[in-house]
Amino acid sequence: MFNLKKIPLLAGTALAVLGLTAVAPATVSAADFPSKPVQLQVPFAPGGGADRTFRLFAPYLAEELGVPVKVTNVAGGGGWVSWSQVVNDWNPRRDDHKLAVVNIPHIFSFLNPDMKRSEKLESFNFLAWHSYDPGLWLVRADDERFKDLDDVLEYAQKQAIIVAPGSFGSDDHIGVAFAQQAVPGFKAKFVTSRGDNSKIQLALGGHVDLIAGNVGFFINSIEEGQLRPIAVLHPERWPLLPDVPTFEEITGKRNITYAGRTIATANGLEEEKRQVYLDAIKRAMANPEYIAKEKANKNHLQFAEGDDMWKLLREGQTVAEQAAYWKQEGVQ
Amino acid sequence: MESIEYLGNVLTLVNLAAMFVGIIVGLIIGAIPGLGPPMAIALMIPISFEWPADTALILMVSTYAAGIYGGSFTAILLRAPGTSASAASAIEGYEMTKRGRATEAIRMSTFASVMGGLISGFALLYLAPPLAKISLLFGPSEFFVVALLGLTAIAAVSFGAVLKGLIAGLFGLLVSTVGVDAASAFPRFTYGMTGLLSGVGILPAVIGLFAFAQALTLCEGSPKSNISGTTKLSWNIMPRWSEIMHCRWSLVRGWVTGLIMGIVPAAGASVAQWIAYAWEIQRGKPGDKFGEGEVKGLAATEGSNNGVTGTSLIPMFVLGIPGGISAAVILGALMIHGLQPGDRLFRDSPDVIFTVIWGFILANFFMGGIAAVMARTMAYVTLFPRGLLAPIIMIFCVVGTFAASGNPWDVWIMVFFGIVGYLAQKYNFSPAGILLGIILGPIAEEGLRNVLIVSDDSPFSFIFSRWISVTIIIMIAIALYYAFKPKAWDKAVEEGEAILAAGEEKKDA
Repeated sequence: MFNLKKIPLLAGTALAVLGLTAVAPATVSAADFPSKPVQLQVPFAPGGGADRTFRLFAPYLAEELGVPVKVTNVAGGGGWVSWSQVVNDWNPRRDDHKLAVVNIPHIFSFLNPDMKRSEKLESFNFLAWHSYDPGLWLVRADDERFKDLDDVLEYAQKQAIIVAPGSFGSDDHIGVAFAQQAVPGFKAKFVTSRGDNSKIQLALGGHVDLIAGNVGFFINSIEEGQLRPIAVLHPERWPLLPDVPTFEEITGKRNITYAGRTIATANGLEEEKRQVYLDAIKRAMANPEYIAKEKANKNHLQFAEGDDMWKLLREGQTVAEQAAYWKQEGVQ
Repeated sequence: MESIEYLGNVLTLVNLAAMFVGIIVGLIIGAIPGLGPPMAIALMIPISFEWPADTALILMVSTYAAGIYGGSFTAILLRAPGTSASAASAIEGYEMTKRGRATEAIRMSTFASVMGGLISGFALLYLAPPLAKISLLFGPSEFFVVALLGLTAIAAVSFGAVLKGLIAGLFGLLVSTVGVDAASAFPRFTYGMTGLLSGVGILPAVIGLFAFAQALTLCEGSPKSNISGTTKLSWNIMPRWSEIMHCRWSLVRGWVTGLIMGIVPAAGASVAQWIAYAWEIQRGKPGDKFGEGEVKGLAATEGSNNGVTGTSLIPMFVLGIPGGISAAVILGALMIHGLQPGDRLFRDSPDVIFTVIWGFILANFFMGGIAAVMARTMAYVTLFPRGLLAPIIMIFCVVGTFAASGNPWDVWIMVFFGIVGYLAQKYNFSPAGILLGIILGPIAEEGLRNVLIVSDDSPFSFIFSRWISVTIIIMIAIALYYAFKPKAWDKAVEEGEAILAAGEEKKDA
């Protein structure tokens, strides 16, 4: 079947193809783009989950682009200080060496009429979807009151359960807000905190009953024996936590939330430049060394571009609209 | 302890080189207003990416320790604190500089910082697990009362002008409410301006209130005069025994405050220094000149901010809960190197973690020597003419503020607080009071609102049912009692004046 004589020919063709792909970026981006360091703008402070991931990603992206990639932090306003810059101030000529991280579903806080924002999903020039981390509910490992999600729901129907969802309008809050609407009688009180780290503090110290967070961040606390997972807020069970049921399995209600990270660029950026970025991101994300590093960090990479990416983005908007936390009464 | 065997791991050429680079980078970056340890450490993550984990982390913890100390150089020499952790040192330190005692101030700052860092490092080495447990006891109610304790320092830093000090503090609290409210995601006092969504950051406020305001103040005098009032500086960089003995209890109080505040989540060095300073003023004796270059005040603030460094890494290493931004960035680096914080870190990778802790201790030790020489050289800036110094400070303020956040709005906020700080200083409305309001406002607000939610609107019974909260409330009561109790020397002065007045009357008669 297999003709041995053809091997040199095959190898030759393969080499030629490889050679072409290696040369390809140089010919396509003949306009010498990018010509100077590229800035990757993270909308949160240094040390957070997004910052950590993109500082890890930057050297691999730099390798593909052929210029250094600098991570900058423009924090504040739940991401909006950075995002307003991206949408309103970035000029496709002047700011063509800038990329921005946009977090899903954080971005959907523009749906909240109180925010008085004029942006829409289409206001952003999204390049690619980068990573995905499903929502997770956890309790203190030695908390006898809660064996499983049923215990949590039963408790929350009798008295308000104290939840640490980070900040208002975050993906973690969206999951609890959905439960408040989908599960009859479910009552929750929110103890806000600055980021996931302080949630561990609040739960271990017995200051809250339930943490609403994400798998990637909290898996370490689970393996450490500090916290115990109760339910995953994802359509199926998550491979990293095969024994943890989904919210839907227990209640029949599809409660989905997640932290998604995308990369966007200036509106109106020339198509050729856009393609250079997109190709570089795609190749960097396929780098086995990078994949291994992210795997060790329990961060789930998920590349998507074009229509696939837009489908994910629109699904994200549906999730935020369903939870509609801003319509709830009795929220301070 | 078995951990001593890991000391040898630090002494490899590579690890020592990383340590020295960390110390020097930290000292320089700490001294420049705006550039601080979190930023320096974040920039080191990609550089040290391929290094062994212990070398990379030694680089980072050395930068952290040296950065907190480096901020004090410019605070003492120019009243332009390089980081928010050294703002309190600007008060007594700069007053000493103005009186030609810059080198004495640097000596005391170096001794207090190095010893504070060493003590804190040994606490990290030997007391990590029990101290981590204590840090877990801090919940919403404790955050609220700790912030109140910090706010009582306003009474101390207003130096007698209590009403003006309180106005300054309230202004700071009001400013701290600007921006998106975390509990409702609703923007407050932003007037539709995007730049105000993130509120007023501590960094632009510190740089404005102290450094930029100082540059404006320098513009007042003759452009050719210098700030130290002398033309020569002493070369003695080792503190004298008599100086140490004079400040011994101040140092101890500073170190203790630092060690404790290090394990309090969210507080850190920028709160510890003010509590230490206020404590010091309350313990003042006749003859102490607080606000006019009292070395005891400087010993306390400098001891406390470095006393924080080691213990603030405890919750991070043991529980995975970083106490501040620097610790959060170090945690990020730890995870990038494939290490997960927690018991497993100590169990599965003792070689890495204990090597890093010993590296931290040694970094504090070597930092003293390098810093003392460097600071002595830097002290020459106090001999520069004002006409040169003021514009240089302004440039660093603008560049540093922009570099820290990448947000041009922060530069305008910094300039605004520069003008506020200049006027406040001139009319005796404590700039430190404003800063305390800005730092502690968000901690107090979040704590109080969470207490109200958790306690179903009966906060008092909730707060008083928790022993740490009650302990802190007792400390607040003591602090307020001492703040308003007439001081022994005030009485003496009043009596003296009365006697003099009586004498005058007699003469008249």
